Amino acid sequence: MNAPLRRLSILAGFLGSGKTTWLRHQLRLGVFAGADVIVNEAAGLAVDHHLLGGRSIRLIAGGCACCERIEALLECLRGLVAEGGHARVVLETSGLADPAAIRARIEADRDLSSRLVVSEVLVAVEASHGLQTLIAEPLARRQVLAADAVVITKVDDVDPDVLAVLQASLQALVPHRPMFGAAHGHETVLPDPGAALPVPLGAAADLPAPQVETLDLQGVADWPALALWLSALVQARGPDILRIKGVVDSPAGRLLVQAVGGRLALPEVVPDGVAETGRLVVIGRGYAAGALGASLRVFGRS
Amino acid sequence: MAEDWLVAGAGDAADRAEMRARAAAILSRILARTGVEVRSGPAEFRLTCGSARLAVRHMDALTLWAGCGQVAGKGLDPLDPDLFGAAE
Repeated sequence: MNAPLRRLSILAGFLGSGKTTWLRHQLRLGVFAGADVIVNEAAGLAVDHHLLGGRSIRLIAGGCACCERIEALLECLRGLVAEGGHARVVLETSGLADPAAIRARIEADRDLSSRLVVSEVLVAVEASHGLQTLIAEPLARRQVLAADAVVITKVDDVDPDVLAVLQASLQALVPHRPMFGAAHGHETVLPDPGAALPVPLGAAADLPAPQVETLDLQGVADWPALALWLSALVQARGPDILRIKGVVDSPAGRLLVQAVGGRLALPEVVPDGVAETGRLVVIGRGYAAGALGASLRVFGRS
Repeated sequence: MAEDWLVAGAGDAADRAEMRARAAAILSRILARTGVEVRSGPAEFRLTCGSARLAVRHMDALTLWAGCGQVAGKGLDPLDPDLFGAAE
């Protein structure tokens, strides 16, 4: 008798779109009960898999699962299939991954695709700034085009008119795809967008690929120097700074530090031992390699 | 929200005052070449550059950085090697 087909759910979405928060709540609610979970991070320093809680998470870090780390992903999936584990697998991709490329590679692998099927591609879009991201970032648009369903996240933190225009624009981009909302990870019903008109997304911009850098903070910058540097960086270079993420030590304890699209989020205290501290991932573009580290050292010099 | 960042990482109230004083000292050092000086008062940062003066309330370090640019008469970019390379 043939082994049953495993079902793979791919959760994608641009940097800071709320994938991890959404997945964390789905796991708590048991939506993916018993599923094997794989987390892919573009940076070598991985944070998200720690935030998903006390589950056994398989981590593929140091590159996107659609390109640099595709072989690692395929190997991981082959291993899960061979182990005869759970019927479901959930993959949270990095924010820079194209889910269509992942799906295509899996489907092109005859052996793997005979035992595992991509059952759904869910793509997270952040409510407040998702439309600007779709306009500015061709990859974000490709992610949505690959979606079987779209999750609009952080809908509790957006002007209703902004949300309506985003819904209308997404409906124009991917007509008839299911769309639902999420607030703090909890599913919510989206309001009727009414007569809101879609915003023309225009031609895709020709942007350089984002750079992924991991900065070592140990002995380089204490908390006030780091807080000032991040504020200065975001204030001066906001649109170029796509994502900042890391867990750092401060006099108040370990803090999860995050910024998305040039917007700083208030740091959250995280329990001891949850994640590696003292390193920070910065994903952005428009500056020379090494400029971030050199600048941070200037701020941190005592 | 970036002043909240300083406070979020500062711990108790005494540390907050220390954090602000330290932030002012860091800014004065790295902006020395621009002539910008920053002091931390009881409720606000006081920025000076030549005859230009500006007070920034203790609430937002993003605004504090922008204020430094305002008194300097130009936007300040922390990645500008001409400006900050010399401070190293």
